[in-house]
Amino acid sequence: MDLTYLRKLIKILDQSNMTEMEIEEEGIKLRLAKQTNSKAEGLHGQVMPFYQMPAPMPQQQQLPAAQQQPETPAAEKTEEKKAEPSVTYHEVRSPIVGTFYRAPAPDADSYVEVGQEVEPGTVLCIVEAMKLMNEIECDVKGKIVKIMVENAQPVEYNQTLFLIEPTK
Amino acid sequence: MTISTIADGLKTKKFGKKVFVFDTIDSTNTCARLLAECGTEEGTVVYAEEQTSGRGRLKRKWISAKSENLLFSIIFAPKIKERRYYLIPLLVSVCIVNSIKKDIPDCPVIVKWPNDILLSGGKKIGGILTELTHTYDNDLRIVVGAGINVNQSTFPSELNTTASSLYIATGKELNRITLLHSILYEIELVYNSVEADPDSIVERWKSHCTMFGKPVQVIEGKKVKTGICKDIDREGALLIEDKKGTIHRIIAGDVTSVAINTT
Repeated sequence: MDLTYLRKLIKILDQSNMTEMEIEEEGIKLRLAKQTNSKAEGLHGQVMPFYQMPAPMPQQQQLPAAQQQPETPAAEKTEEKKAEPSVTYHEVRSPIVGTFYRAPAPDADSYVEVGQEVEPGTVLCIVEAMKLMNEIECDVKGKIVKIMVENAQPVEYNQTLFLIEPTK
Repeated sequence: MTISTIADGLKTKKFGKKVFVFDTIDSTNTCARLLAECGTEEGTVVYAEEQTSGRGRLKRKWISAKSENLLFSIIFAPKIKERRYYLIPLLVSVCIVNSIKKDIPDCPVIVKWPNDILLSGGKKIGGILTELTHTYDNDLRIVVGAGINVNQSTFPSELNTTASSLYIATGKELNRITLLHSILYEIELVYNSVEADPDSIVERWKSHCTMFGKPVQVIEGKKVKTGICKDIDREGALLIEDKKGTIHRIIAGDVTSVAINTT
């Protein structure tokens, strides 16, 4: 059981309402417990940096540029070139045919609003098909310019859902 | 409930071999999703005796008495084609029904599209919540959470007309762990064949469904469609025929006003 895995288990415990968990794996028994009430706020504070971890998806997209950096001095030019298309809006599209929901529940606040700053990993909406709930995450850092679909409307595969102005 | 209670006697090779057991948890699906995103392997099960924020589709509450029912979530890493991911929740609902029928052959348990588990009178005894997510290195995971009302003998008044349990239906108290073992075994068996023969899931599901040929109403977002339930297609979508004879393919929504009868 490596340290990364253990850290993730602690994260799960921190973020949930449970107070303890017990795991047995490959002959190792582990029991994790947390104190509640007064320490709760402190725990949340610790969780925040962890929560930025799900950002790796966009990092993967940036990987080719990042890989080039140590090899070629042209890396700076690559970044300059990237700045040009960022003037145009980034489109977030639906990966599936389904129903578009702006909020996790009918009486809940929308995940995002026009004008809101978003980060890679920010949940933008749900697209549901066959009761399979598919949270759509943002893949760029920027600001929401337009929401292209009304709540609870059907969407097609690859239909544009959001226009985002990427942060330069 | 302990890990060894669940591990002892489990005949699977993958499903349930890694299990996280909680006395009380907010939601097994929330936990399983986090585990899935951390890269925890396929077949991992999160089990709880009680959920403080049990939820269904669109965060509807799932109410279940402590230590009387089954509440668990399973992590899948499906290799089937994208358009057939939807078969996974159908698969789980079929396996639950099969397992119940193995235990209680005369139990009038059926499926309602896409993955509700009902008694033939229409009361719900099981629900499934399926969520799609990705690992930190962007591998697809599907988390299926199931709540099955097993030994609960009474329900809050607001649920009395819509919810029931296997105990109420049969008068028999079931061993929940035996049922869980049976469900996990069944899932492993069927899931192993799904890549080679995904159509078999659809056929199995149909064999437990009594909606066909009956009038249904589907609330899909703000739209309401009514018609006769004709079939489900290879991807699990519901096909209903309206008065003009037009076939509508339903991929999301709530099926209501279903006249269900086992005959």
